[in-house]
Amino acid sequence: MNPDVQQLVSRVTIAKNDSNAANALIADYMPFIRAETAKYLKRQPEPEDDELSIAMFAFYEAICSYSRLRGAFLKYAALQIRSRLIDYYRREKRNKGQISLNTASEDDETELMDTLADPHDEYAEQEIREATKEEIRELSEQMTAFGVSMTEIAENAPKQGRTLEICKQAVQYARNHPDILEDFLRTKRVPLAKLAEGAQVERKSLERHRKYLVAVLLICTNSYEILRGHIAQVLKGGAQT
Amino acid sequence: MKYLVMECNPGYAVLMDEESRVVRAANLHYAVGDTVTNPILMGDHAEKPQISRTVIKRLAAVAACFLILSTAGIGLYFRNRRTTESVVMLVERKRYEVALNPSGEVLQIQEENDEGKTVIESYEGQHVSLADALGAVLQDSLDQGNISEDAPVQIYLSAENKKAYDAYKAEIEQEAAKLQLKAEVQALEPPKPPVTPPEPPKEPPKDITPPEPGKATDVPEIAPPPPGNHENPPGVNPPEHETGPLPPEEKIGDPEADKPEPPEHEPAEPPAGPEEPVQPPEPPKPLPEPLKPDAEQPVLTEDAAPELPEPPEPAEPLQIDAVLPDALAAEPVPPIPLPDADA
Repeated sequence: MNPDVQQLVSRVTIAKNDSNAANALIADYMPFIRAETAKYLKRQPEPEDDELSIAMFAFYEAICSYSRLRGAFLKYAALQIRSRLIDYYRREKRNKGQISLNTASEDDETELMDTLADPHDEYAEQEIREATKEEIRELSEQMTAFGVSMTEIAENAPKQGRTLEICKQAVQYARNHPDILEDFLRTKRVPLAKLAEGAQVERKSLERHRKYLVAVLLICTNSYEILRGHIAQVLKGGAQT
Repeated sequence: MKYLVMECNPGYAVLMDEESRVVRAANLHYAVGDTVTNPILMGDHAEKPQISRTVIKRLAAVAACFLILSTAGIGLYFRNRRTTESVVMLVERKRYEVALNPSGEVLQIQEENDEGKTVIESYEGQHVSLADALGAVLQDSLDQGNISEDAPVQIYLSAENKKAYDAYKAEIEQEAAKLQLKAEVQALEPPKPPVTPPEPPKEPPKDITPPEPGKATDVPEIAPPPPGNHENPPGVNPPEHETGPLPPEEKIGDPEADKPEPPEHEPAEPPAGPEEPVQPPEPPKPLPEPLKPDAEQPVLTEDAAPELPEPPEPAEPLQIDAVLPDALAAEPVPPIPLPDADA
């Protein structure tokens, strides 16, 4: 096997479990991603083009799903990029006929969005956005102390509705018993046995999604009001903090 | 569904929805803290036209039914083409073999001649009954002049069992009646069992001279069969090139002829078998040395004395033990004068 190809395959294998390595690999192969996007667009992509972002996302998906049985990685990645761009095209085709708010108005000086009455307070929304960003940053730091990252939570989070319901029951039980949350913050370990017994759910299901439970329990413990407000339906039925 | 952007990376973004699901999606210029709707989620290819599972299940069921039916059809097709039974029929001098499939339908008719088996008619897939095939054979023989409407037609038939034989016989007679033929159907017997040792010759030999050396002990024990009754040697099947035995001439038109034995045949080539055909022993030749007359010796008569050739010079000492008593073997015997042939 070609040494370059072998090195690429080894990098891909490492990037599967390391988000930093994945980001570095994407940055190194940006020319390749641009070229594949240009094949589809029949022009050079601009940085603000959604197609380029989608192509980069498709390259990341290829990293996560690649195996040697699928052949050469770059060919596989090119296929994934093309597939994603076609999906995006079909999706946008359904929205055909709709005018973008960024379209220039009749006088060609302002955009349509500027002519519309905006009931929202942009400054208030900006403040909320900043507060949310701060909460998320604090949450990420706290999660790092527990040895988990956002990407790991995304990989570990339950996808089936039944499993998600089990985790919700465990979280609600923990919210109704603050001592469990205190133990959780003190030991930095999820009390799976108590949660399984108290919520009357299977412990194995909770064990499989331990990292996800760390993030959700952390949201329930500190003053993450914005984040709790976002998942209010999930926390419905639990104690208010 | 609203998604809160939790983390942004070059290739993807981490979002959390209102049901606390945390997913990865395309980073369409997101910022942490943004609330987005309708993102492009990882593993989500809902844009592709997908075939529902119900349709797939139905297609699989249809394909399975088609496979079963086609397999059954192919099996039935080849089953009907497989020969499971053959009916052998002798019409005058011609031997026909009718091949039947498991359903009793005729597959083909073969004619056996000197050159072997020849397919004269093929009925594969035409669902021809045995009666129709037999009628075709009779019609063919009628057209070729082998049989006529005036004289009875001798037909010899072989079947697997008596029940089948009776059924085929009835069909032949029915078809022959349609063609206004007088058919006499008889069973075609299998080859006879091995021939028993023949009886000793009734007439004593005229000359007591022993046979030529080397041949006295080679006299076969089996006597020759009666003339005109050429049968197969024991253990030998008749070769395929034989046309089969024909009814004897005296049997044609003879209403009393109802013997189960196959008819005699014109002299045909002797079948090749493991044993040599039976031949009569050579007439004894006179000894070069005189023999002593003995009262025990048989008296030769004039009528039975053939014309003997000149005695050849013996190459080996004569072996007369097989013919003469032991007492005579050591003593020279004066020659016996031969009677005059004209007397």
